[in-house]
Order: sequence, then C-alpha cells, then structure tokens
Amino acid sequence: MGYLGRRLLQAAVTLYSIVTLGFVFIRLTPGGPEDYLIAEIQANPGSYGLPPQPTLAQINEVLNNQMNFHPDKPMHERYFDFMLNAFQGDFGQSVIVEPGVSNMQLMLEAAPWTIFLSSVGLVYGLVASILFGSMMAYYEGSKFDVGTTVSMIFTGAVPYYVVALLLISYFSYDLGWFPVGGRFNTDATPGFNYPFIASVFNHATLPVLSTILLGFAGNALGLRANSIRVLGSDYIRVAQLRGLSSYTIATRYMARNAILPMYTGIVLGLAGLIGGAVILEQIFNYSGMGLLMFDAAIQRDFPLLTANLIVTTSLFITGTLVADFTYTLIDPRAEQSSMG
Amino acid sequence: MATDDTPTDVDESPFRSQSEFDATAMDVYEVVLERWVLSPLRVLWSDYRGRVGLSILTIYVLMGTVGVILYPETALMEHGRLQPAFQSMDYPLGTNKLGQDLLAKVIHGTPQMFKMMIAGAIFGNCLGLVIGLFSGYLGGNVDKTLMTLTDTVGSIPGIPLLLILAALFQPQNAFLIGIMISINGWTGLARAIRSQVLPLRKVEYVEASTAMGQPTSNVLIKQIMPDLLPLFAIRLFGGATGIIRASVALYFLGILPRTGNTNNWGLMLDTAYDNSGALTDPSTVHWLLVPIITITGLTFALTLLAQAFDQVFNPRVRARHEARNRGGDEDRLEEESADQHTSQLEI
Repeated sequence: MGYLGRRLLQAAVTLYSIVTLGFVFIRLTPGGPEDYLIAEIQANPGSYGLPPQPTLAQINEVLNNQMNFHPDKPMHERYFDFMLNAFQGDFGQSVIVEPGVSNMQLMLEAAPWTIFLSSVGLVYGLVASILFGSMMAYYEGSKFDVGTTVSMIFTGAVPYYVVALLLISYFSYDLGWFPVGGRFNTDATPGFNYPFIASVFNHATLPVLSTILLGFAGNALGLRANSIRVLGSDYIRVAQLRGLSSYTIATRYMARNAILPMYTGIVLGLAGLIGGAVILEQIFNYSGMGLLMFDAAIQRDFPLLTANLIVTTSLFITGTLVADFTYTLIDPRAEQSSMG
Repeated sequence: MATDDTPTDVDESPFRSQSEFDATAMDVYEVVLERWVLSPLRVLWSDYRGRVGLSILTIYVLMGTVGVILYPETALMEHGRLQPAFQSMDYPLGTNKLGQDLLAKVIHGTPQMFKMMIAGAIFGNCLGLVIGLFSGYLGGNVDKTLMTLTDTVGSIPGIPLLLILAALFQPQNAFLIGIMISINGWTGLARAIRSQVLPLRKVEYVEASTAMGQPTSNVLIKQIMPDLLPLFAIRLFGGATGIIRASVALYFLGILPRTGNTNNWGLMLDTAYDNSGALTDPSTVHWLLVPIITITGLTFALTLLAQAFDQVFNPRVRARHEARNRGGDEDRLEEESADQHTSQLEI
C-alpha cells in the first residue's frame, strides 16, 4: 500500500472517530435527548403530525425520524443505526431550531454562503500577510518594520469580533455605506443578474473584511518570525556576498524557506475560519453554517450541532489531505523521512 | 558550570582545606538563574518591545495579585448609574448600568483570566511539544499513531467543538475552562514542531550524536530542542492570547455559565454590548471600552513579548540590532561574530 493509500486510510479513521464522537455527544445531552423530546412531543403532539394522546409506538416512530435511532433498541444497535445513516448523509432532523426539517438540508442551504465568505477572506488575507511578513522581516529593525509591526501587533491584539463590531457600527450605522445584516438585498431576484450579484458583494464586504483581519496579523507576524530565523542562516549572507538583488533574496531565498513551516498552519487555519464564522455571522446576522451552529448551541439543539460539527470536520479533513499530498512537492527533504 | 580547573599547586598547609566539589549549591543556582532568567530578561529589556511588553504584563500581574487584596469588590448600586470615566476617585473608570465600579470589576476579573491562561497555555503547549517531538524524531509507527491522534483531534474545528463542550458540561472552574479551551489547541503546535523536526533529523550534528550512541532523550533535549525553543516560546504567548480570545468569545456569545464568574471581562463586554445601545450612544461608551481596552492591553503585551523573544533565541538578530543601534555599519560584521561567541553561553 503506497503513501496515498495509507494517508486515505488515516483520513477514514479520522472521519470514523468524528462520527463516533458525534454519537457520544448526542448521548451526553443532559437527561438524554429522548427524555427531552418525549416531553416535547407529549406537550404538543400536533406539531409532530400526531393525534392528541399519542401512543408510545407513535412517539417512538417520531423519535426514530429525528434522532436516527430507535429508543427501544439496545445501545450498540442505536450506534450502528446512527453510523449507517451518518455515512449516507442522513443526520436526522432538527429538534429545536427548525423542528422537523432535515439537518442535512439546513446545512446544505447555509454552507455555500460560508464557503464564499471564508475562501474570499482566506485568499486575500494570505496574500496580504505573506507580502507584509516577508517585507517586515527583510527590513527588520528599520522604521518600516517598527511602524508596521507595532500597528500589526495592535491590530492582532484587538479581537476580530471587536473589530467587526466597530466596523458595523461605523460603516453600517454611522455612514450607511453597507447593510446592517443579511446575505443579499431582498428586493433583488436571486439569479445571475447585476442587482443580485452586486447586493451579494455589498453584503459580504464587511464580513470578508473581518475574516481577512481574523488571521492577517497573526500570519504576517508568524511569517516575520520565521523569516528572521531564515535570515540568520549562512546561505542568505552568502547570497548577499554574491551580490544578488534584494528582490531575488527576499522572494527566492527567504520567502520559500520561511513559508515552509507555515504551510501546514495555513491549512489548519481553515478551522479558525469556521470558528470565526460562528461569531462573525452572528454579529453580521449572515445566515451561514456559523449562524446555524450558534443557534443550535444557544437553543441546545444537540443533533443539529453535532451534524454541523461532523460536516465541517469532513470538509476540514479534505483540506488536510490536500496539504499532506502537496507537502512533498514543496519540501523534498521531508519525502524520504516522513512519507517513505 | 563553574570552574573545572583544579589548582595545580595545592597548598599543603593544614589550615587550608580544599572543597571536594567545584561549586556549592548556591553557585549552581546562581549560574542557572543567570543563564535562564537574568540574561534573557536583560536581552528582553534591551529591546523596546520587550520593555513595553514586560511593563504592561507586570501591571496586569500586580492587578491580579496585590490589586485584588487592596481594591475592594464592588456591590450593586454602590454608586450612581452609568457615570462616565475619570470623574471621581471612587469609580475611576466610571460605573455600569447597575452602579458598579468598572475598575473593581476589571481588577477582580484578572485572577480568573490568568488562571485560564496559565492552565490552558501550559497544558496545550507541553502536549503539542512532546507529541510533535516524538512523532517527528522517532518516525515509523509512533509517528503514524501520534499523527492519527493529532489529525483526529485537530480536524475538529475549535469553536464549534467548544460550543458543544461548553453547552454540555457548563464548566465554572477557571482552570477547567482553560484546559477545555486548549483541548484541541495543541495540534497546530504538534504539527509545526514535527515539520521542523523532520529536516533536523538529517542534520549532521544530530546524526553524529546518534552515531555516537547518545540516548534518544539526550539527542532530543540537547540537539533538537534548542532549535524548537523559538517556536515553542512564541507559541506559548500565542496560546495564552488564544485562550483570552476564545474565553472572551464564549462568554460574549453567552455559551459559558454566568454563575460564579460575574467579574469576567467577556461578560462585561457582553452586558455592555447588549445594554448600552451598541456603540452609538457616546454617554455609555466607556462601559464598552473598558473591557475592550483591558482585553486588548493584555493580548498586546503578550504579542510584544513574543516578538521580543526572537532576540533571546536568535543571537544574530540581536547582533544586528546592537550594531544598528550603535550606528556603525563598518563594524557590523565584527560585532556579529563577537556576539556569536558570547551568546553561546546564554542560550
């Protein structure tokens, strides 16, 4: 079995563990999820499509739909049912946030918006932080470095949600340049037309700006620290003695080696974006996966929360796989030792 | 350590005695203190970032230790409601809607924040260092097992996992909250350390030590660890900053229980944001700004310290700094080589 196969097996193990953990989380719900639901169903059977005074069998049927396991079955069978359904993409139904709606459907509706925000924010944030970080390190100690570092440390020290609050209060409430919340203008017809697309970007500006700020200062300063370590190496001094231009040294000799330790970190930063989405989407009232998770957590809708965790985790596993497969392309030294 | 050279002409006089040991315990302590505490501090202090960072951090530490004893806690309706800052010595930073002194709330919220930071940063970083070190150096099955574990834990996005954990367990103890927040924060460091150790395995001096039959623990601690210390130290501050942010975020979102921790900075931010009409009303803005500035100040100090630590670990950077500060470019190379020799002892 080659490296590819082994790495895929590892991803499968990870995925399996996450879904199992999800089952454990649902089981850990205070008082058990069934008790809560049974009380809920008995209180208002009408909203679950049951006649008044429902029988226990009817209640169990509803429970089976919602939780993906039948309460009468023993634990290992429930676990088996849950896993089987989860791997078929069925995470049961939402219990509290939107009762009766499939969790998968809720997530599919919300996911594209979050992916849109995160990917745009990630790309712009990375480009900016790599540019700034390597420049700061190269001119380390100069007025440019001191000025940028201090302002960047300060930007980095202000939590991004505080920045988001300041942005929304200034640009949306005071100046009225950007909308206060939502994903697009409700007057526009969704589709491929100018007013709709323009309103999508208009609504996304402030969240994307906050997303860029989320990792920007940290990445730039991290890159700066790495670059300074690289700058201490002999080959940089040799390159200077050879009379190479600063541009060549900065881009070809320094940046490549300085970005290397960050590479895995960049992919792992995706998880930070998902977490940031929870807070930013709540502040900007932007209904993506983050807001869905926040609602589920506040209202203690554990099946929905767990489903969200499993899906975001699977997305993230894919990212890590890509990172590991491309790592040897970037650093050939690691090829024999770690991969072979 | 101290002196290895034994005197060649030992005085045979019966009134003089020669100690069996080269150094007393006190000497050893002095050397250790000098090497690990005083000289890094001197390097830190020589840098403006280190000076500012240390000073700010000292203020917070004093606030959390002496301040808690000296400054009394505040009670409901102790003062007038929503008094602005800098008006009276009874409430220097103003009061909130419930007539509580904001400075007292900030001071009495400090110990909880430090407990969370210390528990979380130590737990998360040590776990990450150990796992990354062993995984990268030993390779093979150990590497596979440890990286599967790291991948599994690290693949779970932090905040969503924290949402579930906080909602399920409702922790109130500050140490527990700190450890809970760093429950999957160590994975990034473990992977970063591993990817630094991988190339280090092939470096000549490590191969030489292995060939000489040095035990693994010796190679790890003496040959590999020094190269990892900069990353570790910077991540230690990064970890503490992350815990401040995550805990404030969780309190701000209203996920963590409010009971028992009424003086938390995140809670102050949340109540201020909920009640003061966001940032639009200028008369109540101090209520929101006090927690923001408190939180930002601490993370600012930690980030500055992380920056200044570059110089403790990289003598060449320090040499360039010193050369630049003296303004002479001609003697730069000399300074650099001279500094390399002296700095060998300090690290």
